Amino acid sequence: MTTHQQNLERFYFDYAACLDEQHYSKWPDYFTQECRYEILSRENVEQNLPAPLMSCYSHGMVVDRVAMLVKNTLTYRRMYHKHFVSNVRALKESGDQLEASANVLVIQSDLEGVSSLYIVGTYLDLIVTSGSRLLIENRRVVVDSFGIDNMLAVPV
Amino acid sequence: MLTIQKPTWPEANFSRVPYEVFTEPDFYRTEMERIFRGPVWHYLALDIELPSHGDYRTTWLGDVNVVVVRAKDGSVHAFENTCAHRGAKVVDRLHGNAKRFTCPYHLWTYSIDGTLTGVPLEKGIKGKGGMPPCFEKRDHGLSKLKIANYGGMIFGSFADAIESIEDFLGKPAREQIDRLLVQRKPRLLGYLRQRISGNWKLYNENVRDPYHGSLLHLFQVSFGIQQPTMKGGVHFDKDGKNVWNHSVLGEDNKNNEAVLREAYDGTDKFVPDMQMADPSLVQVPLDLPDGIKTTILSIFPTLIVAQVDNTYAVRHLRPKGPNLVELHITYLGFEDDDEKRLEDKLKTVNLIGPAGYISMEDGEALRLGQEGVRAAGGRHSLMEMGGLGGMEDTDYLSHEISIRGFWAHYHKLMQLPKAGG
Repeated sequence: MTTHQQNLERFYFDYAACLDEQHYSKWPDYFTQECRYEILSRENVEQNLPAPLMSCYSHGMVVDRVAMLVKNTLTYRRMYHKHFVSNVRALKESGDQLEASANVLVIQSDLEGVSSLYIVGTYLDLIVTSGSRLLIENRRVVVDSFGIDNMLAVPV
Repeated sequence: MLTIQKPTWPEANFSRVPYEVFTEPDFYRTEMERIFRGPVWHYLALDIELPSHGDYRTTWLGDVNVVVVRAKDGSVHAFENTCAHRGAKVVDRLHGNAKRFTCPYHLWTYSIDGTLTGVPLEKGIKGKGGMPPCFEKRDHGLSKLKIANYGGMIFGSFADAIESIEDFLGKPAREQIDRLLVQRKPRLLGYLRQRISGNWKLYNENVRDPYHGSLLHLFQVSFGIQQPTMKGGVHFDKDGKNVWNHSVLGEDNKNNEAVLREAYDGTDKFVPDMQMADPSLVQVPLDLPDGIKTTILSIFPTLIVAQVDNTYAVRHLRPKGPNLVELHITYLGFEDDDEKRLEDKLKTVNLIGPAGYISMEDGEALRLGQEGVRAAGGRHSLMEMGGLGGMEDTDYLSHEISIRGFWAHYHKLMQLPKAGG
């Protein structure tokens, strides 16, 4: 699992840098064509309530999720984001699929340099390996900080 | 009792709102007394959230934490979550099932209806200590709310003298609750929470403002879906405080792009060339056959029952001081939804809530509003869209009449000096 662990960490860090650097048009490149992406509140998950805060059930929906950020037509609070991904764990391998999880902390900083919490949660992932390349088949972001500060415009 | 002398309301038609109402702690404190403890029915929970005997939820009525609980006979009780002894919070969970409620501090125990049933060491030990002989448990229950129910929605009030829930809601609200929450049994799909850095009344303005719909929310316009030419209108209750705002997709969309170009003239917001990579999100058919595309039912002071496209939700405002409000959204499906409809509802939730393509911008509008008025004391807003007449029903959407309706009732309940005087 050591190789997987290293590949996985690099993959997570590249994904985080993509969002931190606001390369939103590149974000869909981290997903397979049949992907699912959901941000779920811990409150709903623990009560077996299915409603997500954000969801993409196709690659097209992943593209659409950042389209207004790329085109700059969304009215949203301009923030710098920094992802801190830790406790990365390659959990279980079967064929070309890898179950993995990590903690994610995202700090937002406004235009006057005041920082606060954007999101703290856990990635629960199904990653597929395609050659040396990793892609997200299924990502569930379970969020502890589900009392969302103002808005959740940028994915995690 | 606090008497508010200033600021003044320059116009009797409420087309001007002094900015202090959004920022001044005096106003906030007075609202908690005169509106939140006043002759108003406040939304507490849905029947479906308390299916069984002993099921409870805690919620907020302004600053007051409230426990809502289902009794054995099916009735609902609600009481202030503050121990009659020394004021500690009794129930420190969001939901659960209980046979009784026990304060963690000194284990004072209350029955499901909030009656005090147990005081440890009430008689002392071996004749020493304990409560005085005149102490009667029945005099010291939890502070109870009066309860009403309309269409599976549970309301509570601290006021003794209050009109019936039916009269409080008014006909348009009753009809929309029947349409959205009664003709099909709702099913709880989850909660969405958004903490918005703005005054709770700014959100009331937002939902009573059909003017902003196609201007702030560029999502539909960007993807070539919606038109400012949409038909619709508003319908008021007797006080002007509750309003049903709805829109229906028009049939004549041929000149859409030309109309849009004119509407957005001088802005850089109109980008009509965007296509959705997966348009299935906006192709979900409406469950109901009546063709209504949006329904925003705003009920004074903190409740909105909303149908945005094919999403169904109860929005509840929970003020956290003058500068912050939690928007708590209960997202609903229906018992008769099949698997496909349920999947669709988990997809269309992307339109609403803190990450909703449409709704998230309202949070931003509130934040910007609060930032703008923070130091603007002595000045006021300007609301003349739709003219300055009475709060009459309309069959058009480019107006701010329903916002004036909110303020007229707010002004009355707050017992403020005469407007336009």
